[in-house]
Amino acid sequence: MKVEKVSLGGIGIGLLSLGFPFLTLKPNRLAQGSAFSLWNVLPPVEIFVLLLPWIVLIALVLIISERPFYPLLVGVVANVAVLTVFLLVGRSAERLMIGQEPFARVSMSFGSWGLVGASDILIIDAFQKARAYRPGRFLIAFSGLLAVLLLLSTGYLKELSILKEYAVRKDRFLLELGKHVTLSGVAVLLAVVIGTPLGVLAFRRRLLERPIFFVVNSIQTIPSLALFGIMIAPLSVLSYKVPFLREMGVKGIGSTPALIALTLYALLPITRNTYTSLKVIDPAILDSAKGMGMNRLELLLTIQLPLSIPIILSGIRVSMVQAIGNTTVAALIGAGGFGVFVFQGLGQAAFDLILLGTIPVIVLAIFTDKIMQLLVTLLTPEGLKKAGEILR
Amino acid sequence: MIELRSVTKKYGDQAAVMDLTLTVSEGEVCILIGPSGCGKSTTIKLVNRMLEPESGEIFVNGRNVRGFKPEFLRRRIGYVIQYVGLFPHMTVSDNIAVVPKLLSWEKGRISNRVDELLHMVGLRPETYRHKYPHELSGGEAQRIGVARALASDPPVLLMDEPFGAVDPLNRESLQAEFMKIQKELQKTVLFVTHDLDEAIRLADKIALMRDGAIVQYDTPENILAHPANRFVHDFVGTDRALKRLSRYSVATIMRRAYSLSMHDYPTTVHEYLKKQPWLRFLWIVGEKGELRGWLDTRDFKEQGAEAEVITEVKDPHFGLSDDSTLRDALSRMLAEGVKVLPVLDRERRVVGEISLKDIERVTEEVTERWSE
Repeated sequence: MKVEKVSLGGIGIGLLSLGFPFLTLKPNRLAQGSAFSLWNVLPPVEIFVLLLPWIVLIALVLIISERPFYPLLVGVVANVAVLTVFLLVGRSAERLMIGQEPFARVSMSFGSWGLVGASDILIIDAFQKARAYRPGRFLIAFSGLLAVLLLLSTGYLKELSILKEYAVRKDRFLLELGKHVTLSGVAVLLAVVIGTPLGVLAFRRRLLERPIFFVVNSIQTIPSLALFGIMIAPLSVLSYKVPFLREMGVKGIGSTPALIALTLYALLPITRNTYTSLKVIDPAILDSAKGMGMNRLELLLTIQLPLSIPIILSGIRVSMVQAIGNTTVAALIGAGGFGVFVFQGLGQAAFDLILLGTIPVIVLAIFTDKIMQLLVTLLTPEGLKKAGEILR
Repeated sequence: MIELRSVTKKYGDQAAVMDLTLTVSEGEVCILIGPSGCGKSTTIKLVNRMLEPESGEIFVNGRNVRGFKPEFLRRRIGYVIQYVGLFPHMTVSDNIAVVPKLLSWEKGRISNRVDELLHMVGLRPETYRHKYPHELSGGEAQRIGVARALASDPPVLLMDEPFGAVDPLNRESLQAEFMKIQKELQKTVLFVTHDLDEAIRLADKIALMRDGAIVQYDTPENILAHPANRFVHDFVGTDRALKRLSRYSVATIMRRAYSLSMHDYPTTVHEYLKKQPWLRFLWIVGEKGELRGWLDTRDFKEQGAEAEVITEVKDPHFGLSDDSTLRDALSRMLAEGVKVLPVLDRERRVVGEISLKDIERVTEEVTERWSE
């Protein structure tokens, strides 16, 4: 019997989480809470519902780990597991809040997060192992996420502390969501516009390769906070001296420095991948194309571009995920985004407010990553689908 | 035809090709061969302007190559390289269609041409049209490479070690395919290889190069029989007499064979011996004329018609096919331990005979001027 290490690991973590506190109840959002294990807070029926997916998973590992559709089944059951955790968390939160003061707070604890995390491990593993089922396997990646989002929209989980924080600042949340997405999106767009030609230049002129990558690499090493901060002084001066820019909304703080810094950070994956994608094309291909009578433009459009698109798109994918994360820090210089909640929560020592800022960023990043992965798969030319075919 | 006049190509101070003059007649296959660094690949690349010479002129079909834009020139010259360079993101038929598309042929014409070319290189169009390069074997890929080079029906073909990256069995097959295509199309071909046997097999003329200059330019037979200097002599090897034999087909050297059927035995034997008393072997054939056995007339004379003088041929592969070379003939004679072999057509009918003496006569032309 083939040992499915990752599956066993995931199940192990899940089972371990059963022993940890499921929910925490606090008299108010700042105080210490008391822990409740799932055995205390769930009626037997619900305990069974919670455990059922895990029992099925154990059965799957033991019985059919060799079959080709094993990853698909694991993926589906793991998604169900995620959904059941949130379902039961919602119900239990309601139950715990009965008879409590309105400013009492219930939040998920180590145990419930552990179950979600363990399920995610299984989902990711299943997604990767289900290579034969592309693009169907993207369903495994998204379905659990979408189900939980659906659950959220129905208000099922409204008794949870995070959602109480959300309820108080709904409009602000949407505003910052918009700012966050816009900032990351525009930054990556600008990075593509600047970085792609830069990568082509580095490939075409050997002398420029070192300096270009030196600059782009160095930018990556600057801590994000420092880069955001460095922008403030020169931009303020510029804004002061040039009224036109001030009219346009360019200031030392706010979205302008944030955008500049985020774009600079987004440059490396795109520039490097563009460069690599060209470098990695078999010279015999270029030789024969040239010898057949293609000029520079025809070579670029019919040969180099189609062959380099998969790698360039992968670079954009990395850049987008990175940008979404980096944008969180932008809140510190007044640019908005989910970081607003993170830093507010830090200031107020309100843990659930911090989570309100962090979890959306994580979800956004994972979602973007998977969508981009799907896009890369769809846009890779047919003849290149076999792994490594464009590489020497 | 291709003409190079006093062409020099330098890399810094080093001359890769020095004052080279070479003419390849129309319809001829000229093979450039020589040790590494002799300038053979450089020469080919000068013809389609992948490289530009420092001095000298190059003409293709009478027109100076400098008179055209490089891209324009290359679309009218076929170019095949060692590692093929098929475009991995395109199907086989799209790969072949590249130059016709660059020349704005219309779709139907291109499609027909692709099928025609696939046939020519021995691949079934229905099967191969929609395949991708990563699904092809090395031999198949190179066939597509040749098809692609021939797509626009260029008068001139440049081939730079085209079969070098292919295993020996496939190479043999590709060479045979090339000879068949060349016989039909009669292209002017400039071909580079480092494999002497390949050069001997395929070339109408061989240009042996060294340090950027041509040392000897002649037919393979002449180069092998009369090497111009010590270098050529050493390069072609000590077995050049044998190598030379592969240039001659048995069909050109064989003599008339005399055959008779069993029904006519022994009366016909007497008749033959009366008219040609020097006849040594008579071939016994069946009803359709196929080889059944042979008769040594010496045994017949000594022992008479009643004795067991006829040797039956049981081996279905005995004898030489009519497309064998003298080299095959010698090899078979040594293997069978005989000095005479019949030459048979595809139905195994006797069309001639060839003896060791006939082969010796050919090798006698090989001169020995330098001691081994």
